Amino acid sequence: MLKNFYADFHIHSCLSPCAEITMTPAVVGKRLQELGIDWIAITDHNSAGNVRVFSKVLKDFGIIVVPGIEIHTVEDVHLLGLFENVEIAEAYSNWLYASIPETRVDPERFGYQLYVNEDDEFTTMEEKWLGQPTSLKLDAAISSIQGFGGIHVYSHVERKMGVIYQLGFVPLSRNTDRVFVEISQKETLEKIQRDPHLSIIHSSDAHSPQQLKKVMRIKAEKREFGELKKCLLDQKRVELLWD
Amino acid sequence: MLLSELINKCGFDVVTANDLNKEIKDGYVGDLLSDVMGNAPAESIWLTVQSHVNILAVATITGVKAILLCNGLSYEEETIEKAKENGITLLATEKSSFKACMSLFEAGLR
Repeated sequence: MLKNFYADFHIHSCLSPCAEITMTPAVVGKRLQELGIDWIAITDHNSAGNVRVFSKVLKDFGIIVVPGIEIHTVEDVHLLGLFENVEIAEAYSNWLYASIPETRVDPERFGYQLYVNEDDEFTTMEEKWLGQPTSLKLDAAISSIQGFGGIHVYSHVERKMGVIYQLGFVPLSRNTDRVFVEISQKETLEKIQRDPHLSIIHSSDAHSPQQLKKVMRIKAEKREFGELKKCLLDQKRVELLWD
Repeated sequence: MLLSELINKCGFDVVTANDLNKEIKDGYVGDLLSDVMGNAPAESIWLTVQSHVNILAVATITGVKAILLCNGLSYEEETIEKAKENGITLLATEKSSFKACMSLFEAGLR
């Protein structure tokens, strides 16, 4: 039987340099619980380093976490990768790490990148700047996500670092029969290229607890990766919610 | 050449100014952050159509002193705030990157 879940598959943690340091597991979990959101993805820039702890802590709040990452490609396009479990997401993140240049920036000026533990305490700081492009081109980034059995979604396509903003269109890949895109604004629904291959989602892309909100209602049997794929492929099971 | 002198000769709009008495020794044109990070010379003016807040981190890493946003585009508030914090001068022009390069050349930047 299908049940209704409130989902948001693009949320940043305190590991992202541009996110507030208050994006810790207990703070995020509490806020999501208040809002009635129960199925999310943690997608930090170029790293899945905090997904394990978020998965564990948010479970106690009744929230299921899809382990994810937001890759920054050479074209300055942001791409979400969603994975079946924490181990795969971490393996992907470790693999991706070599593609991030050694560049460091002053955290005082460009944001702290903090690893966190189950008690909401910061443990260590990531030294490489996670806000920079990796050396992966878009095609290579998509293939790599597929290689780890993941799903890729084009982030906020109509905004800066979104694929339409950067390249002018959504590339329809030869290797997939469906392309998942995330839109930020309701108006984009009317403007986006009409194509039967496109599946559209909406997310908060929250960088602070105040930005969390209900963005999608999804009908699924249960909150697991296989069902997530089915929902994304069947737009009738996805309802986008707007302010 | 002094940044103030370049601005006067080329007629670029000053969005936020740090120290206009800085010496500009070189220039770079690029819209991909990775390309600019790898190739922009220090003490240069960077011509681009990118206005995302991350351009300030890129300018800091490379030692770019001023960013010139071309084609009549505008910076978002967040980018302007970050520029003030980091002492980077933000400029804007209606000209394309190509035409703006010509102005800089005519002003004497080599």
